Amino acid sequence: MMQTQYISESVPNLRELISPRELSSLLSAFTKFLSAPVWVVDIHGNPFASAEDAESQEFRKTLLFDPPEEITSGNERMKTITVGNEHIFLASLDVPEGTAGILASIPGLNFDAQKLETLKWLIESLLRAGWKNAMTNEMHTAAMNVSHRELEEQNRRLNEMLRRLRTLDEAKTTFMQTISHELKTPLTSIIGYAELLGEGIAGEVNAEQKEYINTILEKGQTLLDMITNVLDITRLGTGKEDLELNFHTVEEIVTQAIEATAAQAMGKNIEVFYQPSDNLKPVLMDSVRISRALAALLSNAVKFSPENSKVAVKASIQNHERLSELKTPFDLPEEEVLAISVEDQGIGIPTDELDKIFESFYQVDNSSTREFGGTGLGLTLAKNFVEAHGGKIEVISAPGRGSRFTILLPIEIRD
Amino acid sequence: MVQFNIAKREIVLKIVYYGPALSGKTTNLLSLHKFMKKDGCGELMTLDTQNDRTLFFDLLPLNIKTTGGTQLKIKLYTVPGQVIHNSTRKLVLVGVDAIAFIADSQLHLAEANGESWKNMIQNLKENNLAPDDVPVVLQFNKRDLANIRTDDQIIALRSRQKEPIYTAVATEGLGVLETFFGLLNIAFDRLNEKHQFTQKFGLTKEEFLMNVYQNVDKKVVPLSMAQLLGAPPIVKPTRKTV
Repeated sequence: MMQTQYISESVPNLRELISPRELSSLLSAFTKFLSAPVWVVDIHGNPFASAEDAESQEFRKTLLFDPPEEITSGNERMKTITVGNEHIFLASLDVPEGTAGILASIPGLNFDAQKLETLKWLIESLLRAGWKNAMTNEMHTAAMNVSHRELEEQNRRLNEMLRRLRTLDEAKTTFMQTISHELKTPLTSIIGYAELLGEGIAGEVNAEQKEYINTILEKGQTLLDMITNVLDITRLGTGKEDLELNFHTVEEIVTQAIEATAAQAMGKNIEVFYQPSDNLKPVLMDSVRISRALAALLSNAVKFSPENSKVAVKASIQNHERLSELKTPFDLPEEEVLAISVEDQGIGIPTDELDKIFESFYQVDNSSTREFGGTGLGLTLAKNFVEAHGGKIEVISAPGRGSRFTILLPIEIRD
Repeated sequence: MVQFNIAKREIVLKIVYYGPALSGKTTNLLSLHKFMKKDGCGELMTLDTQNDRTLFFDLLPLNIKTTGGTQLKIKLYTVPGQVIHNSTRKLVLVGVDAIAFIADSQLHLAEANGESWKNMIQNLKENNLAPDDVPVVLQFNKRDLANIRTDDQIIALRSRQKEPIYTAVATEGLGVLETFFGLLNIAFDRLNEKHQFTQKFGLTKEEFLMNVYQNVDKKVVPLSMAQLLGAPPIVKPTRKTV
């Protein structure tokens, strides 16, 4: 019988080298990898690995006992044949006692010959005298080739995805810039002309007119700040790639923030002072965003503090409970963080409002909008900027007893 | 998945040693090979490479006959730890019954440990295995090196994690058997619940563990069963490597 080129009576010895169930589980893994069902069969046409159903088993048996002409011709160890609409891959493996046959049915015309070659080498090595000779160079080369090919394919898909994302990102940036320009241009005109009117360029203005002009300027500036803040919030991505991370001293950040709110503080004769600890070091962060976050906290502190009071800014490096969730047993429970706190002697925040103050446009009390002004975006922005660094903002406050807002940043510390 | 043949009274367990590259998985198996009596332990199938990295997997088969006549075959595998070999790691995890996760104690490798852990969880899921159903023990190896997680941190971690946590210096053989027996201890409970070994084979946990223990070469490792199954010790290396 011609099929003895492929199968041998000695094959039952294979059953002692590797259990059918073990081979079955291994072959099913190979099947997934190959995307084609794989069998090792014995002289009776019975597969070692379980075929999907009785019909498939019968088909394979028929193939073996009544093989088409193509199988019986030649002495090749590996070949493919077409039976009806199916393409079958056949291989014979050399084991010391004889040969075993491998069948792999490849649906459709497309199959990866290199993958099949790899499969053949892997199974051949495993079956050759049990596991002892499994570690052949060919097997490792084949395994490495498989890994490399998978990696190459994955790289190709990732590169394509990256190219598409970059295109989208460029489109988004262009849109944002356009919107920003279109919204801000008329506002700039409004503010600019209002300033000119206030300076009397179009003629002297009376007190009432001056009051109206100041209202236009104030509201125009508020709208400009709001547009800037909203654009910042929408521009923030989910990862650090949107941050411009460099090493900065904490003093640099704090100084920028204090300067940004200096006029506001001076208007109420509020003293803002800075208390750094001795253990501060340069820190990796996006200085623009963190100084704006800090400026937002300072602005709030000054806004809600009485005249002639004090606002303290303190900074230190601390050991803190890990800011992000522990995802594996190997995440360390504590980490070093940069803590920058802003403490005021202002009106304080009711406990039941503490969760809501970081929501966009939220104000503790509607009346405070009229009394204290503001858009309700400052804290939202501060929170977003800090969380983009993997950090968080903690708040301690009580009505009538002031507030302390602390920015915590888990940042790589450089000596 | 546990394979057993009631007619032949045979149980086959598959245990995988998992973890990041160079954490000591193969060293654990090498130590176990040294500690077991030769008649109960097959050849360690491993490929010596120039840089001591596992390329495909290592396999150490243990064949143990219990006093009740049940044939126990415990197959210990390692996986290659390098990131590139994920397809091999996934393949080796097929049908796993229990896992010993070998972590590197060095602090700067905490992230590598974490990534390997997440990779293990992912591969188990892709093999249709629920990670919570697979018995796992953790071993913090390389306790002899500098800049490692402190003993107190390990103790604190033990109170947080459900998996038993062991420490080891695998190159000296310290903690290796304790990890192995700790894994067998929890694995038996879980697998017995699923497959009723006691009912089908009359095999109790005590008999299971005792028979494996009897294959330990006491001249090489003079540890009692109680010591191997007791609370995981914090191993102290005989020398500190700087």
